[in-house]
Amino acid sequence: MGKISKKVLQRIEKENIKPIGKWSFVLKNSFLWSLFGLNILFGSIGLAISIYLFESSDILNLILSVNDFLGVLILAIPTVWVLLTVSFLIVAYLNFKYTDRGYMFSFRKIFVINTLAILILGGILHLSGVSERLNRVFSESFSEYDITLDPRYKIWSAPEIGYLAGTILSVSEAGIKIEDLDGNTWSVDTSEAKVRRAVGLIEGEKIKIVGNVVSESTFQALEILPWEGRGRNMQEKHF
Amino acid sequence: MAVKNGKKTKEEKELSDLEIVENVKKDLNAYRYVIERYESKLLRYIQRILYISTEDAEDILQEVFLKAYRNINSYNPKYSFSNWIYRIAHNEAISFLRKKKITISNTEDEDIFDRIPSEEDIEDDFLESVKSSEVRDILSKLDQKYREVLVLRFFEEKEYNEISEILHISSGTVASLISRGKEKFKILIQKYGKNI
Repeated sequence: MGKISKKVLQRIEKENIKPIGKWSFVLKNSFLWSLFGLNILFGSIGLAISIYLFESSDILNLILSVNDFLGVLILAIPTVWVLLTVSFLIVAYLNFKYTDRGYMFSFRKIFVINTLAILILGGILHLSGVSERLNRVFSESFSEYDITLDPRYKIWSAPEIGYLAGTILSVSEAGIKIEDLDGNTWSVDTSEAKVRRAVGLIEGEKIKIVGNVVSESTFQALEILPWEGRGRNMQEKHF
Repeated sequence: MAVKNGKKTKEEKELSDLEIVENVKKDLNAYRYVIERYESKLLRYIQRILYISTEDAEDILQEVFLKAYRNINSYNPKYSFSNWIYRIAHNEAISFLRKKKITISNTEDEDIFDRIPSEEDIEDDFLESVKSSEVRDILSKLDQKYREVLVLRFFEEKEYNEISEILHISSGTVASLISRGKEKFKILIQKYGKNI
């Protein structure tokens, strides 16, 4: 028996070294793959909610009516959700890299695979309406969620530049009364407004309004859009 | 299992790595055949990449075999056992460098390396030249990452995909490291070759 093999076998016996069970390696690898899957799922959810919030801001509808479109466009990007999506993408990359065969793939390949996975799954989650439902759950569960993460609260809280949103308090022939996103009450003249089909104009309904400030608490509405979902592609009707 | 009076029978000599590994799982004594099959190869490999004394290299080698035994169940029979155990040797060598905080390469040469034209070509006779002892001394002046791929490719005669398995880097990265390593090597030959 060689010198090294003798020493090694003696140490194995003396220190009572045993091979680590196969299950331990299987568990470790499964854990990494599960973590990878979860990060892709979370990234997809982040992307789906980002798309939903961006679409719901109706920014693309306002291209022609906004003076500072770039400024509003930046406001419409749900930054926190986009950052979360990117973070999950990075963690998913690391998970993949440390799986047993992850080293075989270059950074570019893993990045493209992960991005495609998040884009496809995120698109499906958005189109199937999961993003809207999840956003509602977050909104109802966390009090500060809307103000901090929903870009609509920034864009549509600017009556001075023509964007107002709120909940309808009452409806009359002369117009409607709303409570805006900051809790202020407004009388809104809707006589010349185009109302999107998805808007019911009923008490308790949350809406977005494009128009002008007439006085301190009076707003002239030019267009009324639904709070949830896209306002575009709806048949327009005059009030 | 065919273990008689501590001597290898013909059957054991012909056993594949995979068969020996299966035997090890049942009987610790079978592990000596793994050690005997790989000790000289791995000892040379460790010395070539670390430039340390035989004593130190043997200490590392012991740790390699202990670690391999502990982790024998993580070996996937779909892949080469040789590459698996070389991977462990690589990890132990890196761990040794970290513990001892050893830097082998000569950092003064880094500026020279950065000026090497990338199209520089030293191909067909490389394998022959790299085996001379003079060249081994020059190899010690290379960065660890270049030295290790060159050792694996030209001393251990591993293929790119095998080096990829051992170092856990993509085959593309292996190709790029070998190519750049050879270029840097040539510059060193020109600079130090006559003085060694």
